[in-house]
Formats: sequence, C-alpha cells, structure tokens
Amino acid sequence: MHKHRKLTSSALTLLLSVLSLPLYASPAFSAPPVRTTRKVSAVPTWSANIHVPFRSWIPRNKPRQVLLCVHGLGFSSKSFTQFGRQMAAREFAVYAMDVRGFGAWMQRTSEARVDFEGCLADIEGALRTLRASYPHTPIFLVGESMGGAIVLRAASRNPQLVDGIVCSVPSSDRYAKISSEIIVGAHYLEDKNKPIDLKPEVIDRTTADKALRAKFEADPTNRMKLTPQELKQFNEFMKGNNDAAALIIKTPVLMLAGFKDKLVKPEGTIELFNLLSTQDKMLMIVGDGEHLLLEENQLTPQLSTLVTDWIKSELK
Amino acid sequence: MNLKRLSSGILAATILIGMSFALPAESKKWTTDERQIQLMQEINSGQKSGDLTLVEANSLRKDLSHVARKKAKMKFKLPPNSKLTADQEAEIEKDLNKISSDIHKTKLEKRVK
Repeated sequence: MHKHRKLTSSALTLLLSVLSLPLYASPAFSAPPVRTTRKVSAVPTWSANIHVPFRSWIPRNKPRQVLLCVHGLGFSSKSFTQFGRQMAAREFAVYAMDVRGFGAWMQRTSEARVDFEGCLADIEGALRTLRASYPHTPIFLVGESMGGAIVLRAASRNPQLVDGIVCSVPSSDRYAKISSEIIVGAHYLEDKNKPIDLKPEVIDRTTADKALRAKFEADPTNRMKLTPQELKQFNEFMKGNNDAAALIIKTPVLMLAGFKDKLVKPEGTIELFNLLSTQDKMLMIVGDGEHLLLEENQLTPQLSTLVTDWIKSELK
Repeated sequence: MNLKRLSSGILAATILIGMSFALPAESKKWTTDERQIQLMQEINSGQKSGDLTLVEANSLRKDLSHVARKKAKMKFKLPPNSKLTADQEAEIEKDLNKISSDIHKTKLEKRVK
C-alpha cells in the first residue's frame, strides 16, 4: 500500500518533470554569457598536504556558493568544462576533481588504479580546504553517474561539510547488468589485471550520438579501459548506494535522471530517491535527456537554470 | 530591612547563577538524527585512526543505514510532518545504543589484541 503510494508519487514527479521541461525551453532562460569566468587550466594542488588534481572555474566577483563536482566512470574533471563555465557565469565557484584512477591520476603510476576509499578521503580533504577558503559560503556537491554515487557516499559520511547535493543518475541499476557482470566475471577469471574496453558496455549506451561517442574515445584525458579488478571494485561500490541514500538524513538533494538513458534505468534513480531519508529532496526527470546531463557539453540552458534555482531556493 | 533585602537578593542571584551553570551541565537531549551523525563521525574517526578496519567501518555504517531505513519506514506510516511516538523513539535509541557499543567494542578488541 505504502510502496504503491510511493511509486504513484514518484510516477507523478516523473510525469510532471517530463511535461514541465519544455516550458523552460524559451530563450528567456538561456544562460548568461561566460566571458566573466576565469579558467584555471593547469593541474594545481589543493594545498601542501592534499595532492588532488582538479580544475576550477571561478567568477570574478566573490562567489555566493561553491560547487565541488565529481565525474563519471571513464571521464575526468575536464568533462565539467562547459558546466563549470556556465555555472561560474552564474556566480558559482566551480571545482571539479579527478577521481583516483582517472584524469591526471593516470600519469601517477602508483595511483593510476581506481580507489574509491582514497577518492572519498580526497573529497573530505577538498571539502575541508574549501570550507577554510570560503568561510560562510555554502558548498554543494555535484556528481554524475559514478560521480553521483560518490557524492552520495561522501555526503552520508560528512554531512557537516555539505550544504546540498546535485546528483545525476547515481543508480547502479543498469540495462544489461547481468550480461555485463558475466563478461567482467569471465575476464576476471582469465586475467584480473588485463584491461577491458568499456566501449560496448558503457560508451555505446551513454549516447546515441556517434560523433559524441567518437569524441569520448579520442579524448586522451578519458580512460576507456579498466581492469576486471577495477570494474569489480566499481560494482561493489555502486551496490552501497542504497545504504548511502538512507544515511542522507537532512542534507538537501536534487536528483536528476534522463528519460532516454540507455545505460542506467531511470526507475533505479527513482528507487534511490525514495530511499533518501531527507525530506528535503527533489527528483527531476529530463524528458529528452540521455545518460549524461551535466558533463561533456550536455548541460542545457534550461537545466542549468533549474539547478541554479534549486540551489538558490535551498539557501533561502 | 535593607540588609535583609540585599542578602535575599544576593541569595537569589547566587541561585540563578548556580542554575545557569547547572543547566548546560544537565545531559543534552540529543535527537536521533544528531546521534546518527555523531555515530557516523565516530566510525569515520575510528577508520582514520586505524582503530577500525575498512570492513568493520563499512559494516557499522551498514548497521546505521538499517536504523535510518527503519526510522524512515516508521515516519512513512505517520501523517505528514508528525514526529515519532515515544515508543518508536525509544526503539531507535536502543538500536543506536547498540551501534555505539559495537563501535567501542570493536575498537577496544583491537587494542587488546
């Protein structure tokens, strides 16, 4: 009975989201120009003690909010370039960090492998550094796909450091999940350290746009081959999503999913949304959205307006 | 007369000052939300200090998650914006006490070894 009520309300949210999106498609909601931003393209370090590769997009004026972004599997902080520019133009200070095993970490031989515990420690360190650098400024975590799962986990462990979460498709409920797990399992038995190409299982399902897929593959900052051992670690990590969601007690959450996502089932995101303990939560299903909504130039002006409005409404 | 008033005034002031010190000393009523956050921080610090292994810390976090889900289910059955009953609060408190004791027990067991 209750489950039914939950599902009905979720379905209603989904329907409203799908119906409401075209309303924002007018030019009046287009993003402000990005010329006020300053991009830091080098790969500096957070502080003397924390060596986490990151990119940042900082507005000229004092930022009103800070966003710390975490990318999805195979990508790097570079995937938030367009998001960072657009949000910096809206007076957010945007930071995007590389998850261990990806981006600039690939150049560090000892740390080139996926390490989620290390990544969570990096995020905690980054949040503390940002808190000190921007006193009295709200800090929001932003994550997509694997990054969404990571920010949920980070916020569940450090609620005192996070003022809100924007979380896109964090669910582990993928299409063809069983077949991909069998493939990974078979490769694991064969040689757990021999990298597997993610293209057929992940990239081809991320977008129907062939040009975009080719761009993902051609970008040297993306990592499209992972070992079975790393993929096993990824699967194990994603299984902890439900526990992390239940442990988000008060932190406000905006959860996003693409209705045309061919990689992660939107139902999985809805289920995860229902598991969030916080009452301050909102679910947005993007009618024409595929797997990526925030990264790799997929942020639309209307979605950036929605994210901005939600963050501002949370601070009132 | 004035002296009597003055002394009773001093007495009243002393009592008030005494009470103002005594009040914070009384045990603060922690909400179950606050306790959940506090326990999570204890697990995190235990993991960082090496008193808890990753497996132990994750197992304790899972226990905390079960309590959070139990509380969410209890709340879901209530009318919107209403609080848990005293009995429900007590049940959640009992679960949190068990986790608190498990955290300390696990840490201490490692030190004894």
